[in-house]
Amino acid sequence: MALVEKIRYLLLCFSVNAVLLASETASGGAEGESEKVNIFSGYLSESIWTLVWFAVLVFMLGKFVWKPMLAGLKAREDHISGEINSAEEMKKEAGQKLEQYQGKLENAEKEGRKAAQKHINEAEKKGQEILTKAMSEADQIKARAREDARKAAESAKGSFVDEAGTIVCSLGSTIIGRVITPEDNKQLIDQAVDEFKKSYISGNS
Amino acid sequence: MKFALATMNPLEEVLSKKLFSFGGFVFTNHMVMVAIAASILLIVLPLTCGKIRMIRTGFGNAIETICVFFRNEVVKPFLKDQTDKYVSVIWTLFFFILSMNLLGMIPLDKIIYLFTGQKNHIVGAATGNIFVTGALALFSFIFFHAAGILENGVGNYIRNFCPKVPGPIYPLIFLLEVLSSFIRMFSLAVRLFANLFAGHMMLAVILGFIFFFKNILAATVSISFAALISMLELFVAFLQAYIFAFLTTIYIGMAIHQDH
Repeated sequence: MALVEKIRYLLLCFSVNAVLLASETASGGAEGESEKVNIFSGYLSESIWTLVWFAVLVFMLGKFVWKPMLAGLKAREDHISGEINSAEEMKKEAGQKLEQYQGKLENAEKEGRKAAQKHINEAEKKGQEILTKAMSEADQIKARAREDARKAAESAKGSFVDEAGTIVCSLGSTIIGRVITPEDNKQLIDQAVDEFKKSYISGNS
Repeated sequence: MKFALATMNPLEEVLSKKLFSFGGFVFTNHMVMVAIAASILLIVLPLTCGKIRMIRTGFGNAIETICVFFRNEVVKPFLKDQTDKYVSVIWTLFFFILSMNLLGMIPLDKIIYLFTGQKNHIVGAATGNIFVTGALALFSFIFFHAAGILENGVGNYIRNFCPKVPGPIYPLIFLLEVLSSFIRMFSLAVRLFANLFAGHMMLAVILGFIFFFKNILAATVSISFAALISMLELFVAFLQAYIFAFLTTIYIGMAIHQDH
């Protein structure tokens, strides 16, 4: 831009010089005319003409162009501001709805958590109950099994003693050569115990 | 050198030429240009922007874009609430000056010569005439004072015409303010005139080199350079119209809001 300005300045200087030379020649060279060239030359009628046309323009354009244009611009501005306002309203409404939905969502989450917790608690409770029940049943089964085992052992013991007594009696019968009754058997055992006692006492003394 | 320049007078292109006079009322080529520019505006603008439209297309859209820029970026910051009251005058001023500047860029006399074969001076750059720019500056001067009086009342306007200063120097400051308002008008007129005048003169001088040197190289360089300078002049045409309208807006703003 600075270069252009410099060129422009040089050319302007040149042109002014040229004008001066030209005017000098024109004033000196014309046949009897000594008309001086003046860059400010003109006529008052030009000013009046310009003002008249400008007044016509102001009136006509003002009425037929600028008035409808301003009306259009205002209508557009109103339309845009209306659109902006409605958009803001919608934004506000959307924000409120969002808040509502977020609230509902939070409530739903809370409810969900509550329900889940409730169900978990119930499940845990039921589980605990089932476990307790199962454990008590198991204890009962174990107790019953022990009882059965004890009874079986006792009956086995009883039958074993009977069996042993029978065997002893049959062996004693075979050895002695006579039938030994349980009373005889008892007497023989007592007798044997007494002898053992005696021999044990004499042995110690 | 002197002779060559004299035969190709650059002022030929710029100065106003008397066409005829009608009862003391002189009619010049620049008056033709003023009338053509105004007529173009009176035909083109109502056709393109004459209806209320929410969305404009084509040339009307370009015009409206310029108008909206002026209204929102130039006038509104200075005139605030009174923008729509005065903006139409600012728009008219801008487009009128711009159309005259752009018409001045078109070598209409040469085009007429090509078609008719007759030398003529019925066209030219109207804004390269101090009487045309002076008239517009005079309108601006009257308009901003009128706006100030209209908005503040005559008494208030004169009372607040100059800033609050001690009594003894008040007359001097008042006189300076009056002088400065006249200088504003003068500067408006001269700025537009000088820029356009110098631009056209420069183009005439550059093209004059062809007749001075009379060879193909000079012609090539001259025409290339003239084309480049024409681009710059095209920018200047828009810029000067904008500056004139912008300064008028500032002056109206200063007259309306005297407290600032």
